[in-house]
Amino acid sequence: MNSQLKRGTLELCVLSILARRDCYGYELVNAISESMHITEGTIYPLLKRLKDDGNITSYLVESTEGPPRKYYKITNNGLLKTKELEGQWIQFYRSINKILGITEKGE
Amino acid sequence: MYYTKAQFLEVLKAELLKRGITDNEILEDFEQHFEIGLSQGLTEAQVCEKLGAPAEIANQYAPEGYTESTDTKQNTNQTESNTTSAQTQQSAFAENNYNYSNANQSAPQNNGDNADVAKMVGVICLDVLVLTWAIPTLFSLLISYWAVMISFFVTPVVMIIGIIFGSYFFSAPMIVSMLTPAAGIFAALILFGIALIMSAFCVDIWKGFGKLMQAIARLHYEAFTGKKATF
Repeated sequence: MNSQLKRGTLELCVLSILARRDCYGYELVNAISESMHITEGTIYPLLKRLKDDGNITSYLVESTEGPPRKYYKITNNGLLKTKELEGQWIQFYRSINKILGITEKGE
Repeated sequence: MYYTKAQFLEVLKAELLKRGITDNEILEDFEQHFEIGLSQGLTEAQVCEKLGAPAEIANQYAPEGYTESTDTKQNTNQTESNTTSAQTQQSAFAENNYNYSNANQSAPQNNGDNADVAKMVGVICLDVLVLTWAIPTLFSLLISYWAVMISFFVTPVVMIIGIIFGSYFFSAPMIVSMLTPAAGIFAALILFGIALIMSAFCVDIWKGFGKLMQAIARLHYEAFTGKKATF
């Protein structure tokens, strides 16, 4: 898949997963790469940006093996952002599908 | 291409420095990524490959629009991001410390696959020391509550039948024969009132007990599987 197409939606994917549960970075990578191929290194700059913008926070949890793990947690701001991006995404893929002539079920 | 963890981290650190980023937390994130990847059976080279090029990663940490080749821009960015990254590092550090103590108090809200032995032991102790007597006791109290309520409904009915029809074709409770008819009806009404009050709470108490059992089940599920219970 085109990497530029992916970059814009990766933010929504990360926020959407964090809206469901807290995750550490590696877990997020795994959850996303189950469905699509990503360059794993890109997730950390994204997480930092989201954190700096106040959409997520992080906290450390002791691990039974190795150093404590850094978990990410979505904030109320982040939840709002998720809803906003979700709406944009749905609108976007509908209009593209329309142009491509792909009709959705129930339309 | 980078083949070892040490090489990768060193190059990443250098690439970040080129862009004026001195945030140690970034390197810690990647170190953690390696730790987990290696613990899952990947080789250092495999983790490196999946992560992608350090220069590319460093680019994404840099302020918008930055690319490695623009030298003039780099210098202005350097001073700018030096101060901002130092600030964010500081605040992130404070935040981490704060959250760290929080995380220790409350259970980690992860959905990971690490069932905690200490938690299991704790749950078993709870079972043996508390639940073995607490649950049967609570349950028998619950049953007796319902029994008392039902008998307080039935008794006034029997009393009033006894008062109206006498004890010719109904053997009324003994108390009826000891009271005047008016006092008997009054006593029956009192009992009926108590029964009504009890019935107001009986369903809630029943539901509360159900919720308690559910919470205990959830506690066990989470302690033994390490997953978040969905029921």
